[in-house]
Amino acid sequence: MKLSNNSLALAAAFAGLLGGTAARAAQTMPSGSTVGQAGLLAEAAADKKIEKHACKGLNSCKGQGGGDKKQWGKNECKGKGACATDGSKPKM
Amino acid sequence: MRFTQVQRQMAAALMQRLGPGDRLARRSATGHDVDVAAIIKPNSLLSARERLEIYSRAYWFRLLDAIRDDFPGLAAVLGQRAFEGLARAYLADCPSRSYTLRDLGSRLARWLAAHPEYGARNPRLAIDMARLEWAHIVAFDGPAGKVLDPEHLLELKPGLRLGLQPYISLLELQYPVDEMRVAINTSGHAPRRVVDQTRIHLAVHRAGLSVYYRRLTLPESRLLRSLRAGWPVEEAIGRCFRDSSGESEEMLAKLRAWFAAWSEFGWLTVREANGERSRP
Repeated sequence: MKLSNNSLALAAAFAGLLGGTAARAAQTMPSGSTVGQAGLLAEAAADKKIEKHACKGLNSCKGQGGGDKKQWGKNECKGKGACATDGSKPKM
Repeated sequence: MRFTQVQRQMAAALMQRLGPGDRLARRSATGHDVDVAAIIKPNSLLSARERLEIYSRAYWFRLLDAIRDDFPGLAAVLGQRAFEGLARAYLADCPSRSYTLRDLGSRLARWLAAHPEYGARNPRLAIDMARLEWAHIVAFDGPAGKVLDPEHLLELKPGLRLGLQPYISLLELQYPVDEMRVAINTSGHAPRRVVDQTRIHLAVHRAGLSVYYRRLTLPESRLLRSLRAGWPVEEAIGRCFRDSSGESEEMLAKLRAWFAAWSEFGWLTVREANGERSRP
């Protein structure tokens, strides 16, 4: 380490800490410059069209693409009996 | 039979690995015959086994769908057929242990490192992608610690110890999978050209409700790791620049910029047990 004085390094760190913390406290969202420093945007909030695994346990697969082959993609299988286990046919 | 016993047997039967042709296995993983008739009745159209099989297959196909949803980059790198083979083998070895499907892939990167035969032509690349994609999930909805506020800075002193948000993953990777993952997210497939090996340091984090991959320099990564490990700020800085040959002014400017950015992102937290390091 070439820093001649550790206290200089500590002062620099604390200066950054104070500046960044104050900037954060002064705003509700990260500033434009901070967003630029955040890195590659991997997933924007708007990309979340549906909650991951949203239908688990809720018995509501509407919009998730379930049901039998005839109903795949129609997203209206809830309550149609396509998942019935008693061998009955779905109501038409 | 008590109802709780029926529930346990039903769960065990549903969650046992599917047999050939994705049919309900005759024997459980422990080698016992599955007594389907004891827990479910047949009807005029379906046998007890056939009725149970519907739910067992639904369970496993749901898990496979969830893994595919969470690891699109890995699926693109391996190809769909290889990915499906990997997912089935992984789920057989590491079945769900959590109430939520969110945790399903938590052991995938480690499992893949122990089973490189599932990594297709480039297991190292596949492992890197699996690590990144699990970090992505953690960044998306992992818990947050108490962010450092101005009042916490009233007593700044050399022995100050800071924490790092638990949802941030610091990764050292052999391939630029950050750029690959973003490209895959946009185009839906892996780049056709051969990806060159490039060592990168990455922080996977969130800002607002969005997930970001931020490249780090080696000293920056080292400093963040030291802070997370519980080193006092002063000592962490010393560890970070121990091999550096840069000029002092440049280092001071970097330190100032790093701490400013980290605190503005909300990465730094109050360290509750403001004492011992978690790791030496």
